[in-house]
Amino acid sequence: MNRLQRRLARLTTAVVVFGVMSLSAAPALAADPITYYQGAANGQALSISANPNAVVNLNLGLLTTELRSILQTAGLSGTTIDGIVSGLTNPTSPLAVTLDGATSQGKAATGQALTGGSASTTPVSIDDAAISTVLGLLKTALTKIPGALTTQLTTELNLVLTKLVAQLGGPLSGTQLTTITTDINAITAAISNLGNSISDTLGNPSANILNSYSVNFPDEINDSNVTAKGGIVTSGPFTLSNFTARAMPSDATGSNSVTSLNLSPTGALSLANVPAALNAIVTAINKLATDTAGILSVSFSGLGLGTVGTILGGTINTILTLVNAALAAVLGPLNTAYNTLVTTVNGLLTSLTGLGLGTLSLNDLLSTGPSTALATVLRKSDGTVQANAIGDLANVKVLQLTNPNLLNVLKAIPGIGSLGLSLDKALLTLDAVHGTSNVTLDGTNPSKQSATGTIADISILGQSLKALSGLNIDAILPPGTTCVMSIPGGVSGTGCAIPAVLPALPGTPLDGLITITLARGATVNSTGPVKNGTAGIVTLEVSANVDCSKVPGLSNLGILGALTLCGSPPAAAQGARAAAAPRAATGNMQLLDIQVGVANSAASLEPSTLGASCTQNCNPVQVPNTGSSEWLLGIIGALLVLAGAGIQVLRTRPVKA
Amino acid sequence: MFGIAISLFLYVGANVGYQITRQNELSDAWNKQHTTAASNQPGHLVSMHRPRQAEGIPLAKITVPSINFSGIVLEGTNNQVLSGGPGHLTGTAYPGEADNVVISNHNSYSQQWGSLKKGESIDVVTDYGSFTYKVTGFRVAESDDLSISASTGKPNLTFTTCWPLWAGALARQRYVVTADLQS
Repeated sequence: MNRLQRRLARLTTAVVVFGVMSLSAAPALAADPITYYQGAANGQALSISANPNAVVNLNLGLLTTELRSILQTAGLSGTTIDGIVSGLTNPTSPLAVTLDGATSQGKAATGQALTGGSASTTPVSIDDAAISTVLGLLKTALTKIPGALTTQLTTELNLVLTKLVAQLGGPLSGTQLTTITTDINAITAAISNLGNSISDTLGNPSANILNSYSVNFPDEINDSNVTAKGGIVTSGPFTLSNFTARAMPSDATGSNSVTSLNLSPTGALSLANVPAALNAIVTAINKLATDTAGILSVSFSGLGLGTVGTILGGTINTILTLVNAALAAVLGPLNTAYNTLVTTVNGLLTSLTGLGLGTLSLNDLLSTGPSTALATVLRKSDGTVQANAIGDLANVKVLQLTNPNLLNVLKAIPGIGSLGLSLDKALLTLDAVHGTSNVTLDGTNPSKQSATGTIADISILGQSLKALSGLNIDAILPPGTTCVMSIPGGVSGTGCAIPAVLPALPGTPLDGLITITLARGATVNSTGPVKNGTAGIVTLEVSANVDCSKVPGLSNLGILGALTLCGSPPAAAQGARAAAAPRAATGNMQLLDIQVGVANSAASLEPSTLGASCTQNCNPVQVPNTGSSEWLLGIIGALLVLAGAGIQVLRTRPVKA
Repeated sequence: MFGIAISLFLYVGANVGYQITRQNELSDAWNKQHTTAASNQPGHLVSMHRPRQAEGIPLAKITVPSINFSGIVLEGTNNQVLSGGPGHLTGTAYPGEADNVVISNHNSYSQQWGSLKKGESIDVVTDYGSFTYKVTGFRVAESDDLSISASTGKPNLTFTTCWPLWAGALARQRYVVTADLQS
């Protein structure tokens, strides 16, 4: 290779190296800002939500009346009694029992990976805020009572003191006054301790009154499933693969169906500490009597009288008689008041913990079969976001007639025996209730929202409406309609076909005693905004109410039994409290309200935090550098090969002389 | 010199091989997921943007029969995306939306776009439907020309690559192909 050839080779190499460096050092940069959307969805499903508010409200009304009666007997003034019971108003928060609740939610804030998601099941949930409210109100009322009674007792004791001063013929000395005052203070303190002791005792069950319950599952499932929390089945990248959050039992082979529910009280009021508190009061009063006698004795001996026996004895007897009278006037009613209060409150607690209404328990009002609830949120790889919810219930029985008192009420309805109904069956039975809802956001405008509910059959006192009519329930009780059943009486409602299936009972004075309202949730098949949507359905809501104006008719017929309806006390209690003021029986009392086949879904698409969102009229961005040199480098490589081959030829060619 | 040439061939072969392999993988996956349903149906024009995909996620399959071009379009236009094939410029409309859809590709793999003619079809298949665009024009623009990706208020597609097509990474201008959605 000569000098020229070497220079040519170096130049070619330099050009190639420079070219390769230049061509390969031009990266295509990512565009910025990046626009994504995050997807969020949640689903909620309930098989049953019941609100037996009457249980709480009724008993609170009963207790208020009991308190008034007792305090009147104790001699408290009307104003004082008003002050004590003024806070005992019905609680505004409902008592809610939820069976088989399921919720799930998922969210991808970055538009890519799942950043938030959860799923949970609630086999049984009891919102006992109302019960806590009631107990709180009772505690407040009870703590007021000692103060009121102490004032009453102090008045009586001051009369004793006045008599004592009169007997002495002059004021007490400083020491004597201190002794008597100390004794009176000890009495009032003992009374206050009694009140506080009762109030504290009442406070104990309020903390755990409904914290213990048992749930029966159809399958053998570990007890931990009673409080099982579902888990996120899949938590992969939100867009790279499907994401599903599903509420389900932790035991994959089990079912979260609840077959029955029993509540067990774990706390109760006890009078165990009351006798000691009462003894303390008696001891304090005896000390007052003793000290009073001592003062009189000392005073008389101080006067230097020779024969004081008769006078002293008569005086002491007079004083003791006065003290005993005060004791009898105050302590007797106080003792009676607390005993009656404790009995009443214990009765309230018992009825609360059993969710009972008199002798009517929750299981008489409501009985459920297996149920399931499922809520799912999903984002597909194409960006579609979905929220689904399903609430299923195999069967539910409303107002079962296993309670003899309730059965007697129905048996007393004239003409009911001629209808061929089975009085040993539940008043209302719902079979196979299924509610489902869906929201789909796939970018199309408008978005899709749907919810449907189905009921396989409804039976009234064992008579299947489907079998009687040959029609399905959608024809008898179409979605979106309401049937009102008056018992005794007929059925009414626009679009309600039950009257054509079941004839009305003959009219009686008890017509409308019980009203059962069946409200069928309307089917949802609608459109919504492109970026968010909600859909929900309550497949059926059943509420049962008692017309309180009809209840006296039941009492007159002697069939009310031990039921407490509309604040009317059981027959036994009526006899015991003949002097109590009669209560007005007006308005309606709700026995219960249940929602079955509940499914709610919601989904939304929101601008991501990664970059500005762009919907329309987006701001332009610079197009990327898309220069890549594979093609050019390939040509250069080929040229190099050719050049190298040429040089090789030149080097091997013989040099001409 | 032969050593340099071999290095160049290895570099070029690795890059080209990666893109071919990547496109084959994406194409196989796309075909498996889009055998039925929406993607085979004519797409419907939507007035709002669809939920956005994450960067690097397959968005559409683009086919230009007249120049024998086909590729899986990924969301985004970063270096990793473009080394594997065409990318959708984030922030612009999605296929079928009533605005400007911008798709970019390296010029080394876009040589045949230079022979495209007006009126020829560009087919875009997505999860939610198929859309056909008709080529309406060509132009060369500067790299910072924002009008390329500006909103048009109508359903159209813009394809960009670096210009001159032969200049590789030394190219500093942009070759712009515009097409309107066929009604």
